[in-house]
Amino acid sequence: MSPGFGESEGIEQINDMEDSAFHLLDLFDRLELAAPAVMGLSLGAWMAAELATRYPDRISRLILVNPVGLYIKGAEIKDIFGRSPADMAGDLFADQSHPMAQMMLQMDRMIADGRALGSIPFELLRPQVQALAATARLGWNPYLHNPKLRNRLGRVSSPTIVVRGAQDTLVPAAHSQSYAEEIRGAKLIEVQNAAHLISVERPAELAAIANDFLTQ
Amino acid sequence: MRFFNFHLMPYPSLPSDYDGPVWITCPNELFDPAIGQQIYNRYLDELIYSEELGFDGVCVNEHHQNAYGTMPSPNLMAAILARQTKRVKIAIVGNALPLYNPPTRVAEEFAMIDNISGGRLIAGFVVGGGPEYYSFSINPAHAREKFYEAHDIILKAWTEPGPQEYIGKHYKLRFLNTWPRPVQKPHPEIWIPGVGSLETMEFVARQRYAYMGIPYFHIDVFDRMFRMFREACEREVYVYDAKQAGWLTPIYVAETDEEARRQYEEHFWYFVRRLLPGINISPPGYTSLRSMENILKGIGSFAINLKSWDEVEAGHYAIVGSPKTVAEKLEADLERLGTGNLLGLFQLGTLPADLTRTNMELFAHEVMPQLRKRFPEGKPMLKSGERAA
Repeated sequence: MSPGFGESEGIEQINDMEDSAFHLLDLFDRLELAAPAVMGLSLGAWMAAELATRYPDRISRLILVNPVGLYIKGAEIKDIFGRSPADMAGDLFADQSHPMAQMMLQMDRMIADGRALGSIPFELLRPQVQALAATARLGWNPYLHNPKLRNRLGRVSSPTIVVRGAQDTLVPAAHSQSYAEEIRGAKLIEVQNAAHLISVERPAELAAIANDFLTQ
Repeated sequence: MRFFNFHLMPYPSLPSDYDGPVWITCPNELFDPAIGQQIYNRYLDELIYSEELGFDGVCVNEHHQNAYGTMPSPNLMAAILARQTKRVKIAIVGNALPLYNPPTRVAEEFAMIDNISGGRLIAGFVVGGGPEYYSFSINPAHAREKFYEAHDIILKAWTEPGPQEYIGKHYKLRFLNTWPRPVQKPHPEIWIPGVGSLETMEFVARQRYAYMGIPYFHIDVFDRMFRMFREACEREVYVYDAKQAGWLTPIYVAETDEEARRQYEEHFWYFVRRLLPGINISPPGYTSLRSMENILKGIGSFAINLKSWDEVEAGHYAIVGSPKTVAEKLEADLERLGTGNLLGLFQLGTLPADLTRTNMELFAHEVMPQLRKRFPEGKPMLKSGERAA
């Protein structure tokens, strides 16, 4: 897990997406991975792209899933920092009956009542709070993108696929399309009945697509 | 005890059918400049009047893009007050340091106000409320780091002869040399408001600044907050001085208890129900995990959750009543909290000019003298050895 997410520490060393890319590189060196295949979701895809544009030879195959990282006027990424969990659930899950979507809706009801919020054990809130804080660190402003990234995408040399959840209303289709267009030979694959958190909602489909691509 | 009149300068004319956000994205079309002209001048008159009434000081604060408080630049207000008063302390509570780039602007403007007023500035520094990080699109993840660097720059500017260099993580200044320098030596009194963040308290204790407890919580939350602050001072191996703490609270005085409630209640609810929601928006990365856990403990008692006047009274969310009642309540609360500064909000929400005046007058003439006698300045307020629960 990247610093700041899950149980990983060390987020204080990371001030922007460039730092994240070099952290990944350090990780590859430490694990003695010359040129691993890399798959990233959302923020992770952006991170992978930042590494791929700097050190293309260190990635053998690239899978970008619902990537952020670009700015497209007229097709801006929806806000994630100021909206309620209930509002977000619709962007993250195509099917609202998913347990995690249900949990977000329930969370919303509790937040609205300040007394209930104070009664939630902090350990339950901590992972979400931490992940959002780490995300803010990397993508508050410029919002979830690097203005310099688009012009560098031509440097990516690995075979690449871009995977999009067809019901992803957080990141407009133009983003995945742009990545697929700008990266040499990249293919765009759409998955039905999946929104932004495709790895949580459609893990089997995503794994099959990845497996297929990696064993070609 | 020192007595301050603290003004928020709210916008009192939100349309009755508007129920959208009041912070950050509250459409600025709702701000009527004709009303703005009126209220700014009226509120300034109220603060200036405080001097005649015998208050020790007046306070202004900083908020952006909202109807709760219309002073994005408190320094402009303080500058006006510097010319239009002669005696009172002028407390800016405070400049949101990360919103000033470079932070030397704070050092410069504060020094100007201190010069013009003849050394009456109280310099407040804040990280800036959560909403400000949305309004300015500044990264909340770096808010506290920037705050501490900015603080160091300002203190350096005021206390070390320039030109100097300051090369930090967020600010790099090669020719730090601010003109003017403040009148007060070694520098103006410094206040830091807080809502319970441990880092803030520890910082204030270490620097020997004053900690202002920010509302709008149940009195028990304040009690705990100030106990924790006193403990933090103890850990720095000194006995805290009551002047190092201040309690900010709404106050309303009328001839009788019944009249006070009748005159005040609707304006209090306008404040709580229409202006407060959104004030404690906390953007990701803004609060450390350690502090967040602490703050969440008090969140149920935040005034937004108030349902009835009984709850307001029980939690001392506002001190309301006849002069005798208000004096009694304040005496008890100040004794309990041990704060040597009382920051009263005498205007609140839609409270109109006439009621604001009579409130201030009754307080100044019939409550303040009694409290001054009970808590003479310079005398310790608490028995030494008070510990946090």
